[in-house]
Amino acid sequence: MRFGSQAWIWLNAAAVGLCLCTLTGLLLLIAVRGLGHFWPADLQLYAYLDDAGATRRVLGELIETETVSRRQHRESGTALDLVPGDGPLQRLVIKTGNRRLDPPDFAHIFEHRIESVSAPPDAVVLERVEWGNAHGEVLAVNGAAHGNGDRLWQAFKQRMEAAHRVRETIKALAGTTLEAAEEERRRRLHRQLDANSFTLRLANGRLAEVPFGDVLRAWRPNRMNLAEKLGHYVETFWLFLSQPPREANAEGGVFPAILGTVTMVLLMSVLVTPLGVAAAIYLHEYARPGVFVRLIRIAVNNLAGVPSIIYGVFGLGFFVYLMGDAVDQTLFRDSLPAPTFGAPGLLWASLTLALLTLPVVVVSTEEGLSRIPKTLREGSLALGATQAETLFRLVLPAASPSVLTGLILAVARAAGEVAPLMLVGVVKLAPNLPVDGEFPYLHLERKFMHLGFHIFDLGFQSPNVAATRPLVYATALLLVAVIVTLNLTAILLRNRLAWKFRQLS
Amino acid sequence: MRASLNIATLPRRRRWIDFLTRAVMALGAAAVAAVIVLMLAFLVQVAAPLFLPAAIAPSTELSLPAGHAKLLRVHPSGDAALRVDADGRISIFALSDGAQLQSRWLDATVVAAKPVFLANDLHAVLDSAQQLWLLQTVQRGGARRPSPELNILFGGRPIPVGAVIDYDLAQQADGTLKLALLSPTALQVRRLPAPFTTVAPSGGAQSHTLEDGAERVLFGPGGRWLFTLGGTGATVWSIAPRVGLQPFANTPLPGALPLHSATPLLGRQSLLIAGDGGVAQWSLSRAGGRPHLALVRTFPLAAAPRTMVAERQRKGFVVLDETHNLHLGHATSGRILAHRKGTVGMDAALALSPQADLLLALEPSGKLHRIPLLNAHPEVSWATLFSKVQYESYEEPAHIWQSAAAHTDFEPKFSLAPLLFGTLKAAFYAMLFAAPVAVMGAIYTACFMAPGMRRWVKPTIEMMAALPTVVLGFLAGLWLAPLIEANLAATAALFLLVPGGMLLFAGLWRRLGENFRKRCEGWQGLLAVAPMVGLAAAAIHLAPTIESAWFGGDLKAWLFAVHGIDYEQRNALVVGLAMGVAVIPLIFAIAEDAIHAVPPHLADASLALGATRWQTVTRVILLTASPGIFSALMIGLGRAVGETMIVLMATGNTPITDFSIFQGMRTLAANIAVELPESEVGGTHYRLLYLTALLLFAMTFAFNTAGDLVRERLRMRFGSL
Repeated sequence: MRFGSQAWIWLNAAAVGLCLCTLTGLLLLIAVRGLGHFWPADLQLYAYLDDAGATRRVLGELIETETVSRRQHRESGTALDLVPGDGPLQRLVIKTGNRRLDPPDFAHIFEHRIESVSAPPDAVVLERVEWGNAHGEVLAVNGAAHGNGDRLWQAFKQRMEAAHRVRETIKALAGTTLEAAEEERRRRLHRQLDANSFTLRLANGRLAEVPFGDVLRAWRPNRMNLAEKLGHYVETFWLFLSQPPREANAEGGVFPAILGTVTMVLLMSVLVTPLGVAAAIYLHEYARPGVFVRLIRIAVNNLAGVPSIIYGVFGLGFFVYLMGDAVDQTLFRDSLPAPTFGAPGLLWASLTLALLTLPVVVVSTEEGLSRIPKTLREGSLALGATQAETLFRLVLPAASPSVLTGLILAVARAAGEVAPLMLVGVVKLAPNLPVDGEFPYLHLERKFMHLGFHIFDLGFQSPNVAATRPLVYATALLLVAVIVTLNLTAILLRNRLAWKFRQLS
Repeated sequence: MRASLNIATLPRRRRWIDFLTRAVMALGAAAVAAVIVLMLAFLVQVAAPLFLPAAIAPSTELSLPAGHAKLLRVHPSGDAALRVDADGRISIFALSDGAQLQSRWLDATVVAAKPVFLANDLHAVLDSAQQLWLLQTVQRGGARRPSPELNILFGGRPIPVGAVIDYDLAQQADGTLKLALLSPTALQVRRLPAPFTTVAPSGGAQSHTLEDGAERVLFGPGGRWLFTLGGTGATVWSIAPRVGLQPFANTPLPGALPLHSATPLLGRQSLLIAGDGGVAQWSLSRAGGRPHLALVRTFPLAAAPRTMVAERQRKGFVVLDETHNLHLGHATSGRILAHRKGTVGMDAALALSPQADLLLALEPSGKLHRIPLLNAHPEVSWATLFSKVQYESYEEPAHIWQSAAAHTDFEPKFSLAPLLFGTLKAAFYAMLFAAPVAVMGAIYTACFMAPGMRRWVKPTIEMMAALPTVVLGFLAGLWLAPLIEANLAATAALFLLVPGGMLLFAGLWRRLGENFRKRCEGWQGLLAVAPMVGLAAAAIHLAPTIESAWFGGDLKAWLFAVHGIDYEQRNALVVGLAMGVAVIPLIFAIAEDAIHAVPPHLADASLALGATRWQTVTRVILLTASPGIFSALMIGLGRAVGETMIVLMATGNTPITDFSIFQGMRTLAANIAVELPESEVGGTHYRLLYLTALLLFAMTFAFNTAGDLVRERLRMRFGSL
């Protein structure tokens, strides 16, 4: 073979290789960064020289090592010291936490300025109610040192559990109607939370008195063995899935976003399936080729090609402002001018996404229908069944897996879509869940949270982007995992189906 | 397929069900078609009013007491108006029936009356006793039945001003007032306390002598500038706290002298000056370092203009000319939008309602014309959307999209050109990366890949399409963009070294044993990963050396210093790569299907005639599949044009028109996502965003339909083969 053609083939092969590498690389990147977030990393105590030449200490976990060129370093104006030469410099990014106590919460330390690194065994990580994590060492509980380290830790643990119980009680009270007595009790509990405190020694030697009420969880990563770390990892992961976000989404879990996404997607499925399946059945089983069928096909093809943001624009104008207003005028006159359905919400978001995913269901269902051998239908008709009976007893059951495939693909598409939802119902922080114990249980008019939008919000609209970064990766991982699983299921289902029908005919 | 059964013999119930099923299914199909029609119709319906021509409706008349009105002003509530007559009477009347709500007399006759700049319902009246009265209309009577009431400020006492030709008042952000007084020989600026105090007005004054015979004085933007007009031309004055009044050179006002009328436009960056030659917009310009009034545009009229009134919330205005004709114009769009012939007497006083939907004209005889104006969207014309427009305080006409600003008196700039440009730029860079990779990958997968590998490669690459764009956008914006910025040289090296290195690798490969090569046939796609990773590692390793050898150690700085290329972190390169990843699987899937669908006997014939595999691929298979590949590219392009999240997150979203790969852009889709939630329903901005949605719809519709049509023809051609 000549060189030219050989080279072309290799270039083409490289294109395939590039695609595969990109996909694997992206998935790995998200997986590693997303999963790494929950790992209880060891705390290191770094002693280093600052720009003024004084020794400083920080306690924190190593996030990454950056490479900084000398030139950049020189331009940034810090005094260049100690190491001669002109190669690039290494800089460590260390998450020191302690916002409010000892800001900033990230330290950037040049490797050559580090004097010593150690891992103090008693270093403790505190997950606080506000201001993120804190790092330090517990010196005393309620002012008492409690003898050696382990007994102190036991006392600390006991107090933590007590505080946890009080918090649970307060949470249980929050739902009930607050009468004077209840209110008094709640106030007493809050006082109880703040009454006990412990002394935390920060890396710079300062002491801070922290009330137990401010701390949600505490652990000593440097003393944990692998099994304990794994246990902690699973617990953190579970909390991430099951807890609501705190501190403007920068801490806590993503439970409302998961629930919002699932509710929206389910509602959308209920809306899109009948319409999509009916259209596909008509196109494949009833319609004879003609202008009408061509029109519908053009419509389906174009629906698939219309940018998703246009669905959002249409949904906002038509569903929210036009239909929502009409609904408010007829059913919710009392609460006007405050809109009930005349504002973005769950129902309109689901309807908008139902339109968006319509072509997916139509195409997949039609594909399934075309796989069913003609002989099957002819047999049924020959036995005297009407076309409707053939359809319901024979064709639809046989095509149901492909309807399901279509639905799964539609759900995967809807779960990842963000642009239209930004216009028709998703918010960064919803005050209420779309589904709860209050009548009518499913609240169609409420705004909701969504995993995809959560990523956008955390990554781009958060006040402290560096601190929320791991959380964005974790959320992205969750979303990608759900979508990839859904798609894999659809592919497997389709393959099974192809195999089954090959046997049938 | 139709049931070939004699339906008539069936029991009624079964027949009904059969019929009903058919009807329901047909309804479902019709609904799908209806959705897209409805979408299109709705977008058009919302956007269409933008292009409705403006009109001055026929007037309805009321009879009011006779008198020469020096000031006519509609109250902010829109249902009453203030009238100041030359004979010293000040009255408020209802607009519905002309009923007088309140009235009082000044001791002297009125020389002039003006509204105060910035304050909505504050007016300054100059009487013949050389005193200035500050009037305010306040809302009284509770929320149920509000009625405006007249209030004279500073405890009902006037301010003595001396012999003046003209004056103007401006309210500062802190509530205090500035009073400019023009006498034949001097210009004076006084500071007055905030109008709600009862202290007698006094305060420092700055003054400057005048020689050029100016007749009018007007405050400029923010009360920091003054304009004097008349005599030989216009002078711009700056009022600085320490320096005092400082004149800049006098500029002539060709066509505007002798002065008929002058009125500031919203924001006071511009003045409308009416002279014999018509109406012209003059704007404060700092071009050349010297503040002066520069002619922006003229509005030629058939007859000489007589009176003008400017809108309060937009840059529109109404002109009454000497032949009794009314003209409705808009400054930014540079048009006279509507005319109405001979309805209003030449000496009438004009007033516009706050929303500029009603024009009042009061003749000295007491005849009040109430003229509805249909003029919802004067800012929008094809010219303002697509051509360069001269905006206030810009040095030259430009394409600018700037729909909102912090202050209310800003000039909205609605040029779609930067958004269209950004959309096409993003799509171009995405396709630049995606098209070759996807098509080449499709060629390899369809023509050369071993069946065992193809079975899993195809679904894997299609799985890429399932990656949510919000995740791709987030990775592009927060991971890739900083990475590329920090390693620009390595990135450039990757783009050059990897394809080049692969060619070299192909050359080396030929030297390997025949047997080994045969065994690897069909698996090159996987094998290529190894040399690629090696080459990439080499590129990254070599980059610092190359950078310090040729580019002074920093490629980014070198680009800026030597070629003047500015680098923005979130730029077209990042968008192109991220959107490329989103578009590749789409193009790949369709193109691969098209290539794979080429009937094998064509290839077999070519091979049998002695052509090599590669010759067969390029001359037979690709040629036959080319419409399918074209269709794939079109559909990919449609997707790239409409993609929102990636562009939103991976660019700075600045609407600029710079094709540089190192600069960002703002696309139509991202613009909608950013601005639609904040735009006022039914307003010009809202409708414009719908227009951009329609534009986007049309673009993707065109690309998709082109792709579909070509694919349809391809299907027919293969059917015959």
